[in-house]
Amino acid sequence: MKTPVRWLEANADAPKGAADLLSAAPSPPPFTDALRYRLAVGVAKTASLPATSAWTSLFAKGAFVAIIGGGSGYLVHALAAKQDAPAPPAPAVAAAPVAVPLVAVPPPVAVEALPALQLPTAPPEAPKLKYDSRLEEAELLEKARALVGSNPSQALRITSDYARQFPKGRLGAEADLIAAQSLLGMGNSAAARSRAQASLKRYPGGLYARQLREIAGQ
Amino acid sequence: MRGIPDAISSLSESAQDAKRGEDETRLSVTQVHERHGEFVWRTLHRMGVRPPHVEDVYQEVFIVVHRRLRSFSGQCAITTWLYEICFRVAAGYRRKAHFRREELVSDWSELEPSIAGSSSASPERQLVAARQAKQLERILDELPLEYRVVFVMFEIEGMSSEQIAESVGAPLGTVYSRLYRARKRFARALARLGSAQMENKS
Repeated sequence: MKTPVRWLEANADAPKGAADLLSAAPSPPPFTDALRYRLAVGVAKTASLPATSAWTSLFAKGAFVAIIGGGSGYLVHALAAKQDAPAPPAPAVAAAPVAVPLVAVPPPVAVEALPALQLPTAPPEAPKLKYDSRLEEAELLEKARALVGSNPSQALRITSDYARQFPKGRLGAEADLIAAQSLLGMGNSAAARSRAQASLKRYPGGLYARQLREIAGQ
Repeated sequence: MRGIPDAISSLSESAQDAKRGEDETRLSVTQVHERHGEFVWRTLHRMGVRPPHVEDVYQEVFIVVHRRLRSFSGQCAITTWLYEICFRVAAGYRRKAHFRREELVSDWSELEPSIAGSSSASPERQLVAARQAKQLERILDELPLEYRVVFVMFEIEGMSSEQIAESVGAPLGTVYSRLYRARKRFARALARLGSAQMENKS
């Protein structure tokens, strides 16, 4: 099959003005290391759902320790600096302790006058994930999936619950696959086949089409 | 255009991984991000997700990846699987974005100098380039997503048909037919745009 000539090429049969517009196309922002890292933080947060991954946990703990450690260090440093500061001129107490004038005693420093220490009171809040109903849908299907091998009839019941709770659910194809697998597990291959065929009609190009086709015997 | 060689090399790397028979069915979600994050990032751009929203949409993609990773059987390239997920998430984004299209490209300060022409170009030239970029986005937004992606990869990014087929996980014939249909729709939209401009001038 012959590759078409690109509209930006000189001998292309492009409509008038198309090449100008195509030349003005924006470049996507580069995928820099900083961006990769920033996105990784969000991905790691997602990966910790529903169970906390070791990576995120370590990251959160590390951040907390760093903040508390940094704060404590600052406090210690501030106190040490205060102790090391040149003392006010000492009154001549050694020579004539009795004659110490009251005015020579350093005046007590009011607490309010001390420089405020900007200590963090709590670790910064982790960015909150937006609510996504898919997580709820996925939770339910996760339960069903876990039961396919051990208790397929219960798994099938959960997929029915899913269909009731999420009539317009976005994981419908996944639910169908689990239902078909459950029916196979229950020994009802005819029902599994018809379930898979019905799903393929609803989601012909879905992510699970290949697995559903296998069950449907196509 | 900047970024095209990177996109192509990233695609080739993933293809090489697949050829090496590397088992990508055992990757964790963070490893998928590490290896294929750039592919997801570029795919979302091709699908018309705008810079201010692309990071949020990227995270949405990885929520789905996280949920479905265990069911990825390795029967297709992982990039094809990721592309499918991007497609669905971007389609949802476009449905929402339809109502706020005007704000999406209204702020030209968001655009990089490369979009509005070189920063050393005259202000007039920058203005023209910015207007053209805006018109292009409007026309691309009118294309169905599957046509848009193929059109952008072929006409703007200069990718080969084979690379596009591999990336979108479709046969070569499908790529050509999508390109053909995208071109027809693009030409129609361009003609409409031209006549509207003529009417405005008169």
